[in-house]
Formats: sequence, C-alpha cells, structure tokens
Amino acid sequence: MNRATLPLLFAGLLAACAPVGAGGRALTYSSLERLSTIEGRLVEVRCYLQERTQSEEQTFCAATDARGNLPLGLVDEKGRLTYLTDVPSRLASLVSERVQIRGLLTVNHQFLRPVSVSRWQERGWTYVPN
Amino acid sequence: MEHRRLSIPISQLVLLSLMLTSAVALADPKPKDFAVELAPDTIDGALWAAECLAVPRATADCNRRALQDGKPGGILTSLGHFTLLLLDGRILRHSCPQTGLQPERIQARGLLHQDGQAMSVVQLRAQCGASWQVVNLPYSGTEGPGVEVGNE
Repeated sequence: MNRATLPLLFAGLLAACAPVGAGGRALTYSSLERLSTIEGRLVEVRCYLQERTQSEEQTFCAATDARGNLPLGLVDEKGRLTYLTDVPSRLASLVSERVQIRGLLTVNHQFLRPVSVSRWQERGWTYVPN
Repeated sequence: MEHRRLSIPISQLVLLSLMLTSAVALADPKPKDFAVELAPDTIDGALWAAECLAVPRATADCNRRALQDGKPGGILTSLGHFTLLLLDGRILRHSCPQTGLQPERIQARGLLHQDGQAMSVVQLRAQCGASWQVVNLPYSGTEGPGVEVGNE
C-alpha cells in the first residue's frame, strides 16, 4: 500500500467512527464550535409552505401561528428553507422581517440552532436581544 | 276465483334495491373519520426535539428539556429520516399525560411537505406503555372550533 494513502485511510476511519446525532451525519451540526450565519426572511413554516407568498393574509397567518409557537424557518435569497430549532414564540415579533441569524447549522442545512439574531432596519442590522 | 299475478318489471326492481341500499347507507351510524380523509400521509417513529437530534450523543434528558421549553419536535423514522411536526412543541411534552414519560413511539397523520422534511399534522397518536393514545392538539394553530392559539 502506498505511504501517502495510509493517512487518508486513517482519517477516513476516524470520520466514520466520529459520533453523529441520532438522525445520522446529514442531520448533525457541522461544527459545535464554528457558527454559521444565514440571512433571509423569517417565516412561520406551516403558513409559508401552504402559500409561499408574502401577502397580507400570509403575514397574518404567520404572525398568529408564530405566537402560538409553531415552528419558524428562514428563507434565504435562493428560496432555501432552513428550520429553526429554538422556541418559536421568542421570535414571533420578527416574523416576515429580513433577519440575520447566527448559530449552529446541520450538515444538510436543514436545521439552524440560533445563537444570535439581528434584524434589518432602515440603516443596517440591529442586534435583537434575547 | 281468479288470481292476478303480481308482476314487477326488472328495471323497477333494480331501482327499488338501489333506493334501499342508499337508505341503509344514509342511516349507517358509523361516524366518518375526517382526520383520516384529510391526512393522506402517515409517519411513525421516535419523538425527538430537533435541537437534540443534531447533537452527537444527545441524551433523553436533552429531549425532555427541549420539549418542555416548547422547542420544535419531530419524528425520527426507523430509516433515519426526520420529519419536523408543524405544531406547537408544547403539545409534545404532554404526549403521555398519565405516565408523564416520553412515548415509546409516535405516529402522525397529516400532509407532508418538502420531501417529508415537515408535516402539517391532523392527528397525533403516542404509544404510552402498551397502549396507543390520541394526543390532544389544542395549540395546533389551525383554524377551526375549539382551537386555541396563544400562550398558556
């Protein structure tokens, strides 16, 4: 066996044995130290998936459901939806707004565990305290 | 004495039997299960808080705390696929109200979205010990009578 391939094989073995979450590697946070930032529109997932528009009705539906603690998500400029794992009612007042959320992201970008949240206001980003 | 034979045309007989069948069907006391009609998809598996699912070696305690806080939860199937349930996470902490423990398994009927990443739930059942119980969905946020949207 080539000497150069040995370290690669060892690294592969280590990666295969590394602990993963219950949902497998794709659903595990890519790193527990490095935070990712996603920018987009904060949506209440149920209403968003039903209508996918930003009409007045959708905004009302989203605001009502978010106060009722239904899951929230972030839709980025490419239209990709990332689900948030935090308590939804905490961010209910920000639904339909442009936000920037920093947190732990799963490998498959399905879930984001928020650590800090900023909202876009007239002149720039404003940190939203917990 | 002359007897007249009773003769009914076949078409009338068919019509009569059809009417009788419909009458029986209408009088059938069996209630319709609208939840089943509205919910084309069913998933079944273990209950997980989304937050804990992504943490390596997450404990049952992490799950219990996250659901207690009202964080979103979902179902992890035996194939390792996770579906987020689009309902108030606080519902899930009351899945087995009699034992107060986490259900062994959970089954949800509803409408799947995004290749099964999320589900709008119509009916939720939890396996508590040996029996299956229907979980009350009072904070589902869906429209309809008896539904409350708001804080506890």
